[in-house]
Amino acid sequence: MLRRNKKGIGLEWYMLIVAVFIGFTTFFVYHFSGQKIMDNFIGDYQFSILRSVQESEKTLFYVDQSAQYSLEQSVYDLANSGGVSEIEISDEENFAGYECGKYNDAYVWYQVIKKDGKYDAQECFDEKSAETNLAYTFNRNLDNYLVSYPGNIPTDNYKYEFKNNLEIIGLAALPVYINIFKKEIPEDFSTEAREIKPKPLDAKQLDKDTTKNSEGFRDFTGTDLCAKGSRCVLKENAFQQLVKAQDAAVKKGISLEVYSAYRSSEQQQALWNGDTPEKYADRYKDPTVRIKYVCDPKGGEIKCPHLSGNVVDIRLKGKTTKTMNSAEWNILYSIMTSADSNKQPLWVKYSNEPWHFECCNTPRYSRAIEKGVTSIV
Amino acid sequence: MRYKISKNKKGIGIDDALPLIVFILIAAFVIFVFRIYDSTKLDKTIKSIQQPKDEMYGHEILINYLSQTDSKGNSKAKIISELYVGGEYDQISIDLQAYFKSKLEPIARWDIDIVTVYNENVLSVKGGFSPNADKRFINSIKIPINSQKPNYLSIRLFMSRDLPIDFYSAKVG
Repeated sequence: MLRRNKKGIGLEWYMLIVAVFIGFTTFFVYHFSGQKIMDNFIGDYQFSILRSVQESEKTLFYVDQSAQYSLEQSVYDLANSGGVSEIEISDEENFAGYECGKYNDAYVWYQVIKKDGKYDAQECFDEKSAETNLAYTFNRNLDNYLVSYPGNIPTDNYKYEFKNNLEIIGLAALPVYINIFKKEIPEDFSTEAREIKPKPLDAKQLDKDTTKNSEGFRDFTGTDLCAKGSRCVLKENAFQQLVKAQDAAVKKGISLEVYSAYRSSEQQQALWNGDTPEKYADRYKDPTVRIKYVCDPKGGEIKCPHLSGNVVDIRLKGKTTKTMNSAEWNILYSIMTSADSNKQPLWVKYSNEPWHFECCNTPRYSRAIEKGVTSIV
Repeated sequence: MRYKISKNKKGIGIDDALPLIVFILIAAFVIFVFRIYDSTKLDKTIKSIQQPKDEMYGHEILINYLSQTDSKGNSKAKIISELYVGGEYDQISIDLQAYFKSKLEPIARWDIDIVTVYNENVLSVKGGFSPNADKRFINSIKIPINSQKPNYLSIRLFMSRDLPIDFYSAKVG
């Protein structure tokens, strides 16, 4: 080429193109080769285990500190109420009556009644009940702290033992679950007010966030459908009915929240035996009285429908059963009992409890369908 | 080229060397880009390893600080909570300053923010950050507050540190 060109060499553009091509090829090969930075650098997964350990340590620290305040508050509350704590049945202001009642809004410790010209004196306050009352009040106060924590700490989860001079030891029934493999939710630095807009459920995400077991139960604890601190398990069919109800709720611009669902017979037995903070067995030694407040697991699914896994205690999200007004109960009722594609109600309501709904052929549901109603005793 | 120089009687114009010059320039450019890319990658890798290490250390410092108890058995978390409820922010600030200065100043610059559940920053304790420092969120712990409505405060630790020299020396070596 050089010999023949008597005019000298001009700019050989093809060389330029080749050079550019080689340059870019080298760069891209280098860029996309195994040497690039991986999203998960060496040790990232190991660190995620350590992070979950930290998270659990923080959670326990929070529970521990909260317990201190709860105890102080409980002593104060009990002192205010004369040492009596009555069980609030299903969050309602519906107390299991104190035998001697109240006088001027204070519980009566000792009463003298004149009857047939005679004076009948009665001791009303049993000092031995102080421990039971303290445990119940303490648990209620502690739960308030636990649900305010950003993570999901199970509520009503401790069996309390009292030692020495007001030392409480809580033995947890359920552990706190911290997902090692889930990417940690970053600290929220936003200062804008958070708006909780109801959004339709994403079936794929729901499948990821929930677990199904071999017995046909679906555990949806920790999802938007389950109240914080609650354990939510339902039979698969019931869960699907709940999802449909939630979809109906979203169309009305609201969300639902389950706060009690399936109870195992062991859990029900623990309630009956008084192994929970309510200590039903200590309060109501006579089973015929106790059965007014807690169902005997011997009655099976008919007497204790929560054992079936087809029952929910539910409310509107962001509300408690205490703050729900009658209009909101009505909205909840209309959503839950809306008809499915077979023109059957999704759920039916237990008439005595506006939060209690059953589905999927429980005896109560079947009776309601037979009678053509959506609310039944 | 030598042949051309000897035989070409018209002499060589700049045109003859142009492809070579362009090639050299491109090669230089590619090498330059590689160098930049390489150093960025190294920086990023070092930081991504340093960050979790700092998180671990930050957690340890925070939890140790908050778990300290006074003679009455009150934890530091409880004392802070009570001071917060009482509006005594200065007291909290002095205490935080003293503790974290002794623990962190030799190795890093630090900041502590105390934030409410509504993300309101109620107290910021500065540990020598310059405005342009590479301030990174390290860790946070939530402590309950004994108020009317159960709530919590979030204690957030930020740090900035110069990366250890041995990282670079290891690369050179």
